[in-house]
Amino acid sequence: MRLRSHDYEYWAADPRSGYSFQLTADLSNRNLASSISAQRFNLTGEGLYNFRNYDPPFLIFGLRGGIQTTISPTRPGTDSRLPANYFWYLGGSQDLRGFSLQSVPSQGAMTAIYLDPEVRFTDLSLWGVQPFLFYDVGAVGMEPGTLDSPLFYSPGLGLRYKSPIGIFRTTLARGFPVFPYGGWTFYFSFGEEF
Amino acid sequence: MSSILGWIGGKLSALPGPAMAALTLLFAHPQLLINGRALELAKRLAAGAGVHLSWKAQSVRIESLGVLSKRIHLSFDDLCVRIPKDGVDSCFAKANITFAGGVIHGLKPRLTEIGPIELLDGELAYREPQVSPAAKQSAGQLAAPPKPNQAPSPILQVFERALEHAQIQPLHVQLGHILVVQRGSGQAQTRWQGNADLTAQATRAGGATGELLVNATELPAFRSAGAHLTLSNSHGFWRLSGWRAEVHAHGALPEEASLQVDGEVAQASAKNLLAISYRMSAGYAQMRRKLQMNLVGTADPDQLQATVSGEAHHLLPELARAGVKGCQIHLRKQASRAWPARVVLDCPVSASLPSLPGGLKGNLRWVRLPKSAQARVRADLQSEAFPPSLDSAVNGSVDLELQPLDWDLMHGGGHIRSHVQGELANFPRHWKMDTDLGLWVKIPSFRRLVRRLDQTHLSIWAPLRPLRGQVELQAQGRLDTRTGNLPLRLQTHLASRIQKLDLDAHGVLKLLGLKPSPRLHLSMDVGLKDVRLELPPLPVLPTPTSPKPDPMPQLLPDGRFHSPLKLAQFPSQAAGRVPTFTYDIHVHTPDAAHPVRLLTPQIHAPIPLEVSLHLQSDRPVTGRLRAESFPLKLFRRDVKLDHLMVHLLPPPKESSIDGQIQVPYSEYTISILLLGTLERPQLRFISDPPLPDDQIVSVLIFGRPLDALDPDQQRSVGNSRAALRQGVFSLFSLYYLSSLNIESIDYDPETKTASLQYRLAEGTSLSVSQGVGGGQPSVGLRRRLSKHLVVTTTLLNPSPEQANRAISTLLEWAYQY
Repeated sequence: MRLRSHDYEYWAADPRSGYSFQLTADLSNRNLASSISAQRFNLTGEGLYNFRNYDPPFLIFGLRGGIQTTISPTRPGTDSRLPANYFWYLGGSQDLRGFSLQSVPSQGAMTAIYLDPEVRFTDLSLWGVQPFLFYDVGAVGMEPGTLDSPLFYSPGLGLRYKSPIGIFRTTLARGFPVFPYGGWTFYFSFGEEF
Repeated sequence: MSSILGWIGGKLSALPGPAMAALTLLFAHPQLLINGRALELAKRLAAGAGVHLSWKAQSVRIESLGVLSKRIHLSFDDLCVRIPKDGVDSCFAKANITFAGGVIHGLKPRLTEIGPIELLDGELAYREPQVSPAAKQSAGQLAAPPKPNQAPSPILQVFERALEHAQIQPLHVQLGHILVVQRGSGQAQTRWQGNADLTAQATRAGGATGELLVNATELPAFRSAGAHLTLSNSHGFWRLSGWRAEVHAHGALPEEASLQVDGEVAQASAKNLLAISYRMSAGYAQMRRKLQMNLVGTADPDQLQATVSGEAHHLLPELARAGVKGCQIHLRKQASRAWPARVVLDCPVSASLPSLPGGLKGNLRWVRLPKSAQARVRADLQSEAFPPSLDSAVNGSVDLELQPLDWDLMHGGGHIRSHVQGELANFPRHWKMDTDLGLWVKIPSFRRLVRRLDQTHLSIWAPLRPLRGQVELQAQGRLDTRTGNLPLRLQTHLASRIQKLDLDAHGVLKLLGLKPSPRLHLSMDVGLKDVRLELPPLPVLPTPTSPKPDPMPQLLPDGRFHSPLKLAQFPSQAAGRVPTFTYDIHVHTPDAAHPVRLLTPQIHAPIPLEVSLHLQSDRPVTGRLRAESFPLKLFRRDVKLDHLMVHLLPPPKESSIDGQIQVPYSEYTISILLLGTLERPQLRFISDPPLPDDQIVSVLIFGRPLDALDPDQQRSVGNSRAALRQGVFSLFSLYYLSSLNIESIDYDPETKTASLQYRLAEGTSLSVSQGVGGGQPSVGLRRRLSKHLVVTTTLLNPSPEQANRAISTLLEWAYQY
């Protein structure tokens, strides 16, 4: 199920304002053509605000986040019957940019939540390159619907370039707590519009 | 009574000397003059004058107060007075009249006492006699009303002098039944019945006071009514001037309505007895309807002046409150046979604004509409009758000046000036009203309007949202009420740093009918004076919102939007299938030197666009969009868009495209033709001199003829032609994909996936693939590490919103021997 504002859709190729939310749910029951019983829910969304609605934009504030959980008696582990994609991981250019890709936690979690505020400077005459700052925050939990400590966070900065074929992004952030998953992390991505 | 006194005065005034002698004899030997025979003689004389007196019994008793001073008591049973000429008929079961007088200082006969006078258990009937219309006009006034500031008639002066020193004893007149019948037009009659009780007496200070109670048991438009008047005169009872009256009246109307009037009336001038000043407070109530008015002014038979203040609540369903403050009304008689009456009005008015229709109100609930408006109403009217009646015709001018409305989002104001002619009773039917209208509404901050409309179904379309400036709507011109045409003008002055929207629209709003609900039709000509709009970037690779790669930009209104025009057509479910609002709007660029300019980041120069669109409520949009000639870069060459025309036809998908781009080379000119429909645009390549298609594509993509290409490039030419034929590439994708140095093109006809390789640097190339037949799009980077080693990294389904994204890296080692 998806909800998207007019602005978000109109400026899809170069987002500057609007919001988008998506809710997906996977329902499986062992008694109904499935080898496992698990319900997986994923709510993600992002919102963009063009500061004072300048045209062209000068400053864009963005907020991206997600709430994910899997309801099942099974827990992550080597002998888990649940496939890996039923567990949740944070880390990567999509959520916590100061952590390695899908490294938090290493075995996966039953619940994950993240929030990525970002501010992008769009009109600085840097040959189309737009710098941005962000501060990603997230947490995971080993039980469905619960979160465990610690709270993970990664401040950082990045550069964005809009090419004729799509958006190129690069980020540098430091994840905290540094042990065991954090540290300096660099990402280069293509096609990610946020 | 006044007629009797007037008659007596009229007779006495003819003989002033003999009158004095008669009075002296009366007080010395009253029995000589006042006896039964004398009364019978008086009866006969009165009959000759048209006043018929009668009684069943009479008695005269004389009481001596001195030699030349007597008190005379007259008693009558069933005393009746009839004046057929005036329609008066009055009888009292008991009449007692007492007066005293004598010859006092200077041998002047004088009345020393008047009263007590008791006229009890009486009846009075007044039936308006049949008179000519001219005579009827003055019949409502007392006989021979004096001109302003002219002394009262001699008759009345005699009475005043004769009675001014008389001591007033109590007066009591009791009318148990009063009947008044007034004639209307034709056989119509107006009746009222009731009873009255009048008491009066002198005050110790030498003045007079009286009380009149009137109850109406039959009164037009009233179920019942009553009045209590308190009369007073500080100078004496028989004074003709100086009278004051306090009035308290009430009435019960049908449907539980009531009317209450309280006030004071006073004679304003000693010389003009009929000139009064008044102060009134009137209240009307019927369930939720309430009216409270205060009036202060003066009146005489020739004019009425009033200052009115008051408020009305729910008098009309659409009007919750209306009020006036300090409203000046002046009605006067003027020297004109055709138009004898003139009314001048100057009224500050305030009123609450009516609610919007249900559907529109719901959509505008976040916009704080003003609750009330102020205006000034000025009128200068003439009437063919004085005083004006509902049957009389009026003509003149009425001006309504709206006070500037300054509220949340808008400013507004204006005027309505109308020359009117018609009968009051028939308003507004058969009225002639020539009206000049000048109304305006200005939205000074478009940005605030955008923010407010964000909460409604009428939120503003994305490219216009950053605009700043103002919008002005005017209704200006002559309003023809017979046909219900309202001229309109809409102007916008909106701009941002890179966009601009200056419109000038002229139109007419027509009222087609009122039953069963108001139906309006809008005809409008919208001129795009100076328009610069930014187009959104067109995606190259498929996204969930654009599954087909870079489709033709949508030129027609998005059907998912709630159009204000559609909303006005059917504002609520109750409107049913009958549209309450229809429109016929022509949108065009009036000045060929100022076309609409479209800005897109993909093309550096603005695209000049000539617009001619026809929007009608009962059919799809038709018209023409024509992009004029402008330079652009295609395939790394400076080319010219010769023309691009879109004919909008119903159905919209079948709208046709006709375009041509000319790519000049030294030896030939290649033309790229854009044909087909909006749904299925097609590309054709022709050249001058004529070349085969593969040669044309070879020159366009690689800049060289086919025979100068290597085998890989020649294969790319064939693949390109196949991709173009299958619609994998459109002109827009060709435009910016061709801005880079194309190394090769591969095409899989089964998956309809085309892949382009671009040379980025020596040994480094970028590949982009896209498809329309279900093939997965991808982006890849290929780098030659050494003579035998190549690494390729490919991102499959690069859009982050697609679920099955994948990234792969391939390391190739090749050795050729």
